[in-house]
Amino acid sequence: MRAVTHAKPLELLKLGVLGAVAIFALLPVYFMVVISFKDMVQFTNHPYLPTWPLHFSNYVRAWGYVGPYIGRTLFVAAIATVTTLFLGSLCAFYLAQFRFAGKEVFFYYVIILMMVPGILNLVPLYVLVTQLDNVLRGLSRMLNEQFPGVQVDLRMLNTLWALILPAIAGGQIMMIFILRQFFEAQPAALVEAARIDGASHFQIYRHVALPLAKPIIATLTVINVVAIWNDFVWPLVVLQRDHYTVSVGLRFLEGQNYVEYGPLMAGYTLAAVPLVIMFLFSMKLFIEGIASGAIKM
Amino acid sequence: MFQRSFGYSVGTVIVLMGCLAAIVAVTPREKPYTELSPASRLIHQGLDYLDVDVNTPFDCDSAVERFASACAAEAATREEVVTADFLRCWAEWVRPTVDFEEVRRGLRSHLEKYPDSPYRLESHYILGLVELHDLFHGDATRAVEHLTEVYKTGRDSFLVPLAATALPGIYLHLLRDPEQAAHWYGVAFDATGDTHTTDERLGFLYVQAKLYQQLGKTDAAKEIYRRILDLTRNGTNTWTPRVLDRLDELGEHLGDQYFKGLDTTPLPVTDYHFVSEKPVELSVSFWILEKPGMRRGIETIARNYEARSSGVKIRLIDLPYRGYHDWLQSQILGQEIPDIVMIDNGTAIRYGAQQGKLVDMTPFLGETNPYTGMRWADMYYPQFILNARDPVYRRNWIISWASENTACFYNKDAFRKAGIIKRHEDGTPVLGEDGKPEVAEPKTWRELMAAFEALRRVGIYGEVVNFHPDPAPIIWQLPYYRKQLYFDLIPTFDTYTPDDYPDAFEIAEAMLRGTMDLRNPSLAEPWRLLYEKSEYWMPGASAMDIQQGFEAFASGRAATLFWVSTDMSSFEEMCNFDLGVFPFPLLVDSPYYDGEYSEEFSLSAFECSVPLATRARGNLDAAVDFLRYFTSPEAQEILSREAVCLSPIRGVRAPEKLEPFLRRMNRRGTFLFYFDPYALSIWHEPYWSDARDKLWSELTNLLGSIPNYDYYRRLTGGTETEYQEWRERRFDQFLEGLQKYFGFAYNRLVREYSLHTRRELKRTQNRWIHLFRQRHAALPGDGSVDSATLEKQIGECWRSVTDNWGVIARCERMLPSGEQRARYTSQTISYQEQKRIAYLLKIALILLTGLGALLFMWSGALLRVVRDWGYIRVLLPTAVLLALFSYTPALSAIYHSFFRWDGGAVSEFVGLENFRALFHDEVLFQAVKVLGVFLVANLLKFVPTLVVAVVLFHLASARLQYAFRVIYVLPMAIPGMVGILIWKYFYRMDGGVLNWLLLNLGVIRAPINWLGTEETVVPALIFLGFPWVSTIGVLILLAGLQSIDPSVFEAALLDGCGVFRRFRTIELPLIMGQVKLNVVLVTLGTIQDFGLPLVLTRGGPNNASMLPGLWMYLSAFSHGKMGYAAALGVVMFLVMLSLTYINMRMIKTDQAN
Repeated sequence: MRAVTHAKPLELLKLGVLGAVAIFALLPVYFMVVISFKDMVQFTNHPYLPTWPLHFSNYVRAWGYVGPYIGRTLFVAAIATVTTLFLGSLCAFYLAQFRFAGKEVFFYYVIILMMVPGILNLVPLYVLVTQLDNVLRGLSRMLNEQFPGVQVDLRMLNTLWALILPAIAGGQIMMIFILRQFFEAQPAALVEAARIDGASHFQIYRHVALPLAKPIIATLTVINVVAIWNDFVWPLVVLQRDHYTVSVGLRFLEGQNYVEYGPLMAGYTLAAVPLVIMFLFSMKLFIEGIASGAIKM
Repeated sequence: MFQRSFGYSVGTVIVLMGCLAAIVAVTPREKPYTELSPASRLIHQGLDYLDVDVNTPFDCDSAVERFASACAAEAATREEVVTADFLRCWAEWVRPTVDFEEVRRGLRSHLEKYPDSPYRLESHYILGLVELHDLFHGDATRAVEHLTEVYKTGRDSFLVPLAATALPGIYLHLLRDPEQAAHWYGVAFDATGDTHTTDERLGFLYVQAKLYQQLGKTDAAKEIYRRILDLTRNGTNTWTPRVLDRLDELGEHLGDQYFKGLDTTPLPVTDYHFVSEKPVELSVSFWILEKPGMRRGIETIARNYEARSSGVKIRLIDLPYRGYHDWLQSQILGQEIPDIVMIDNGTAIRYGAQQGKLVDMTPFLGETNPYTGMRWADMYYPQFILNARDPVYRRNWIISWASENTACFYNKDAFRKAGIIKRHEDGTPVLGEDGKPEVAEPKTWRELMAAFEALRRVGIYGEVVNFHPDPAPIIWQLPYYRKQLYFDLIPTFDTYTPDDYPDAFEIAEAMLRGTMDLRNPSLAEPWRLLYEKSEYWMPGASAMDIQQGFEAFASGRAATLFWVSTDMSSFEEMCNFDLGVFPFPLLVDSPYYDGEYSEEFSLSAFECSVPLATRARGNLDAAVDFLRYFTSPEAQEILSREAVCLSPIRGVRAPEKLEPFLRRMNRRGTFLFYFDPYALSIWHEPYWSDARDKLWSELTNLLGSIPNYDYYRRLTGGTETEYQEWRERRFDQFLEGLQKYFGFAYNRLVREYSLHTRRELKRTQNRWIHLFRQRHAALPGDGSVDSATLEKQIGECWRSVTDNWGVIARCERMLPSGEQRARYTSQTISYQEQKRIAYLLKIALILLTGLGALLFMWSGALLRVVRDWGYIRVLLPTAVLLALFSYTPALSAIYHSFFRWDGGAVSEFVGLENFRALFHDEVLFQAVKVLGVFLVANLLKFVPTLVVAVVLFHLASARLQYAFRVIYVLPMAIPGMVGILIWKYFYRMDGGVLNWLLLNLGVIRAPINWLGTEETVVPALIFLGFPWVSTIGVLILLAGLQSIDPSVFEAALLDGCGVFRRFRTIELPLIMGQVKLNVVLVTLGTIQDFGLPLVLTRGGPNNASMLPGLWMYLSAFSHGKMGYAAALGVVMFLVMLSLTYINMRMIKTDQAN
């Protein structure tokens, strides 16, 4: 507890400011939930306030476009995030704690990508994935011909790999940037001590660095999962039905000429549920991670 | 020293290998063709130089050289020599920078040397085309000689119909001999029985008759007109109404006899069923399946089809409408694209005509559809074939399978409230079956205006119109104005082929020559009427999207809405009032009204295309057959019943609910859909894309900002006269802008089109080369195709060559002369040049790699890398992943910034052209200005976050502090779209919270159209998100504050330091590093981000909220100019890089201090 005392009215003012900000921050949540129970007439006449009767049928309809895809999206988010975190933190740790040739070059190699306007990559990336797809198909054809006993079917388009691999690549950029700063801020003595104890580099990473970084990694996990969860164009482009993710499923609720906001908001609400659960479970670590000071906005 | 020389030598080896790779990459390897004779071998090698994919330049020089050697080869047979000699001329002829004189000389000597050459007809024909297309030395008389020769001696060659169709135009336009022209039009009709569609052929007759009519030979004209009528069935052909009009002029009134209105007799049905040779699974993608009725209908049709045919399975692929075009854009590049894709006409033209990725459906439409035994095209109401036609190439890329009509939906309750009801003579209301008064539906423009006025008196807006260019800026009612006002104007602009159907080029010509001037009151009339009507619109139209318009109608705030029939049943569900529909009123009050219009349904609503990949997969037959079944009466009945939609197929019963949309078909106006620069630019947007956006800005400016006098008075206090004057002024400005825009647009169209056509020409020529080889069967295994099919295909190719050369010549003739032409030609880089430059670029890249490697080695880095390998290998997976998935696409984008690239196959090297264009781009300048404002604002918007962080930090209770932190984190789980949507509602002009608040506070006198006015859109976007506290930012700053040693604060407190002083002297300096980094990140973020304007305004109105990033996005995905977007991206990247560098420097020096 800080030994600073505060006058009462000032304290109330502070609470007022913080409360107002909290209300503004929660407004979208409020609207999302309230609108999700409205039919078209209720929505057009009273968009802001709750109306009765509540239309639970919106949720039934929305579930058809969200439910089937939740498991798959979770799978993609999990695999991609775990791999990203593993590779990213490993790189960051090495970059921060050891001196070796090409270290600086590698760091710039990574962060220069932060400045490439993302939308520009969409079409070239798609072309690349189709080319890889062709190569893999050719390869599996060749293998099948060479070894008649083996049946392989390697492909990339319309598989979750088309989603996961670019996500792993793209996700690491920010992560390395942040984690490197984090590891640099840790006292070098810890690593030194472990080294003297005869631990290998990887052991130091595994037993010293990772536990230290637990909160910040939790924070980065959440941020990464949210990004993958909400990504829309890329999954739409590389997947076909039966392979879609939640965000693509949600777009089915927006028609050509008009949008029925009730079911759409119900869909958003449903899609947000797994994220909210994740937040609730990781809240403590998440906030701790931010509090560690490594993330600079 | 050792290190250095070691590195040096390794580096040198690498560089040498790089050079070797470059040379290997550059040298084309010829196929050996060992089994052939020497001359044949050379011929085939020569053909290989011409037979390359569309992106690789023809190597005409090498080809000519091979053919010449083949002529002189040892032991060459006479046949080989003749063939090689002809091919030499052909290679000269296909050269993109064709030297007509060279071709002329070559072919003439070919004809002299080998009078019995098997290529005699071809030579004459090409000579004819040369005379036509050589703008400087062409001689029409000689062209006529050559083509007549082809016609007279060609017997049953495929060149005869081509020559016959080329001749009348020459007589008409070049030799100015209408008599001969008329004669040859008749010849063309007779000669094209097997090769042209009935529509095209009847067109020849029509023009022939019209020429005779103009020449005063009325009897001959009448006879031909009657012949056309006899040849068309039941008045369903597109020519019938025109012929009847002409006959009316000649005093013969046959209308009743020949025109029977909408022909609803059911079509014949056969029991045909398709048998596929191999099992096929057809994939078909739709974006419409989220509508339950559509899904039911289409699934039933697919099941029925599977049951009926053998060996075909249908797999439906379901896609959301939002994002469908992005999806299509990427799929079209890959091999996974479905066999049939749902598409709209504009997109189909982009992929079909411009990129050559779709199968041309025109020939199939001309063939019999076995499910009815009729010609496929004849199964449609004629306007569907015409409206779905590419206005320049006149090809059908799409097959329409459902249709919709538009009409005025109206709120009967609102009309009753306003007293717009039918009355008996004694004034009592006429009651309907439901006991309520019957509404008097407006029949004319005046009645409509009166109804709107009455509605206004009871506080209901007359009409609601949406003005958001996403997905497409459509004002559905505009065709109805044109149909009633423009009809008599057509012949004025129908200059090239006098068939009373002005095509895009004819309009372009009229626009460029100034004969079509929108300031001409009759042409401006539709806009004027729309403007008049706009006084009754719901305010804020210019920022209104289609959704808001619908909501206003559904909630009863606006009484009418012009909308499509497809949504009829969902409207009935969603509106809780008495819903009615009336047709667009007659404009009898307008001085330019020129007769009744046809109310036939005119929109081809839903269409499918077949990608070329389907043909490559061998699924084309099955795909076409499925589409034939899809449009058969049987399938259409199912669809219109289940999905409640109209059918484009004749005789299919419309659902009862849609009866109000199906009214009489009138002789007039059945083919007027495109006759308007506006319509052309909206529906065939790929040709006019960026200019279209300009049009839209003009329109929203005119119609959106100040809706009516009442508003004007409140805003300015002006009188009604002043208001009227102001309105007039605005309208004049609008027309001025529109005129400028269209002039510009058509100029661009012509230029673009010429380039597209060159590409198309090349594609056809490649195909001809394939067929040529097959015909001569000189290669083993190539002679398998039967000769009749082969000849037919060759004929198609030649026709395509002719068409494309025709378009190019027409484009070039139309381009304004002198300076502009010079600019045009200088922009086109020849294929040879492109090839050289592209190879140079490759070599330079390889050399650069080598040089880099060299420096790297020299500095001894290699040894250090070996030494530190244990560390470096850990980074390898990341390095490889980034190289593959981040660097490769980025480098590809950089590479393509030097190309005219549409994201697909079309890529032409243009050097620095894209970058040069950046500096002449007005929109980009505007965007940079806006970006500046956003940058400053976003940096200032950081302050609240800072304040809240400090406040939170000083909160006494640690518990509350934690609680707030949790609350601030939670909204992260909600997609940002939700927040944006809510702000959009706050900003609405009508019923928006912000306007309500400011009006009540007396800050503003009249509601403001925040997102639709140029002056307010940027402030509104900046204000969005008030109070601009980034909750996650608060937590991050809080972390920074918490790391400050508490003793500092205690000391400050003891010194009696106040809140602000404390902030200034302690907190701010201590988190300054954080703040500075934030400045960097905000700067980078602002430059890259464009989500907000994309969703809310799309950069409008009038580009007032355009950002460079958004402009890049729109260029890439809306305008299909990937190369340009890439160049913009590269510049943005460089700017960001240097800004970061400067910032980093500043931060570093600060830290050093």
